[in-house]
Amino acid sequence: MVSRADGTRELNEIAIRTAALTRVFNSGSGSVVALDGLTLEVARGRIFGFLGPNGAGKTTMVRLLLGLLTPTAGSAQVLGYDAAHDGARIRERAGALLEHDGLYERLTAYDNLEFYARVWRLDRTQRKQRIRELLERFGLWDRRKDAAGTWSRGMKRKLALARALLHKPQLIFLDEPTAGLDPGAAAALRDDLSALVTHERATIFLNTHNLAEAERLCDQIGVIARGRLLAQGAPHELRRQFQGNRIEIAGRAFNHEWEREMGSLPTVEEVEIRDGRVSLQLTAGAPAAPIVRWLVEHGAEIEEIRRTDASLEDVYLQVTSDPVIHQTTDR
Amino acid sequence: MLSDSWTVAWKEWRELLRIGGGRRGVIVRALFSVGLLGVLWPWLIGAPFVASGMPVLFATMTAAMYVSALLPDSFPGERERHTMETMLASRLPDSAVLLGKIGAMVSYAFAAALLMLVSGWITVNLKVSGDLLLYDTDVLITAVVFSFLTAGLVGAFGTLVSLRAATVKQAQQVLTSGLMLLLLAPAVIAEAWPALWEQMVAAFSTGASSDRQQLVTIAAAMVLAQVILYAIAKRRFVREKLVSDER
Repeated sequence: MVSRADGTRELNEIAIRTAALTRVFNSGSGSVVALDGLTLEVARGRIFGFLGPNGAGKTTMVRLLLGLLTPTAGSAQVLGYDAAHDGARIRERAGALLEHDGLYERLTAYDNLEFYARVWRLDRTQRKQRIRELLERFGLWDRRKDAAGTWSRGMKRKLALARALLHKPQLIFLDEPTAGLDPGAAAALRDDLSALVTHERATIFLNTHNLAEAERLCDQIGVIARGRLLAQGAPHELRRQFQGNRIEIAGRAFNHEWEREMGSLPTVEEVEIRDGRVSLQLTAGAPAAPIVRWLVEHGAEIEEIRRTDASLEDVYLQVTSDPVIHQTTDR
Repeated sequence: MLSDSWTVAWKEWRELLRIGGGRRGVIVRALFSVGLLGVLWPWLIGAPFVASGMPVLFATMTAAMYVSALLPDSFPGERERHTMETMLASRLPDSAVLLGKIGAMVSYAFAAALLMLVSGWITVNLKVSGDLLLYDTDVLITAVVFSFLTAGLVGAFGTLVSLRAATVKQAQQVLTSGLMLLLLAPAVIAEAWPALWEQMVAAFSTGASSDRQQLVTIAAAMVLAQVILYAIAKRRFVREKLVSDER
């Protein structure tokens, strides 16, 4: 164990800390940089959302943190252990639901959990109790004797998640946990994850494409693309940072043909006129007054003017299309 | 480590027993695979079967066939079904995964060989009326010991092949070819064998061999070969490589 981190916080407050973490895969056709100097910190008892397009390096990151791969350069500390050398200790304390469900489809649902309960060395009584508790929580108990291979995608996902939670791990890696779940089950699962963090102070590292889910669940978010961490911070911080200078004007007598004319104004970056509203992205610091004046002069009747927040989707799209590293100060 | 290996072996056995659909599938497969060597041949041969060296050959063949058929499903099969990475992401040590898987395959194949011996003995006694016929003690011991050693040896070789193979199909092809070569090679190269070897094989296959020293030597050679092959397999069972292959 490392006794103290080099920051102001004790290491036991930090579940994951990486420093310039890099992984290069070499193959016959050349080398691929899956992770490129990634530095981040995840506090204990928090849900960290890791967002990025396919092939961004999210899965490689999880494998490195679990000690399944060794970094080409840089380092990763997970639960106080060096992932490159103490992978076994990390895996002992972590649970993982990876990209694939990893279920033994010939085995029954119960046997799938029984196997992993034995792996985690739960005694006979604990195994029975915990398996029943999880299968009931996910609504799978009645079908526990079915072969897992006969189940729907959503049911398999729930079973795989139950498996990851069997031993009440301190750190849980989840890769798209709600993929394939119906909205009700996904909402219930989100509640479960929140409860897990609140009551058991578990830390969750969540790989996801689901921006609404990330926004709802995560305390911190990292956006990765092409192996580089492009933005990191709390969702509200990222939205604030990326909202830019957006205004929305509601009113009457707007003409769609004004879009082109307004778009050529020096302070306007984007403009859209739809359903009695004009949405504008202005250059940084540009005032809204000249735009309002322009509209009035052209015969528009204005009822409301307001600044709008960027959604996490706006942040994500902006960040992944603009590979400049953004980091909020509030971690 | 042994307790973890046992856990992996428990899972492997559960999976093996569920290939082809639960208990009924197990019974059908057992009847089919044991039926040929454990029923048909003993029925055709009759009483001489229990006194000849044939049980030794049949038991070792059964063990070898079972291991070579099952191992590809265990290693590349798990990679193909994406269950390997989840297992490797758990607290199980590499050696426990390797030992558990091999142990399950070898014990399953050995159990099939024993079943073949039992069914052969029952078949002969059903055919031949009169006193209860028993296996010659030397033959029985040799059959049991060599079927176990053969299962272990083919298991070790099969593990090496399976760890290198990209797919189940590739592993099956290599193992089947290897097994065929192993079975046919003695006949092909018999001409070149020294006279002593010829006598030994002849005595072995007719059950006339009483030279336990020779059998012990062969058994020791098989054990040594297994130890070497398992040591190589352990070196090749690298978590990072197995995970990267799933990439």
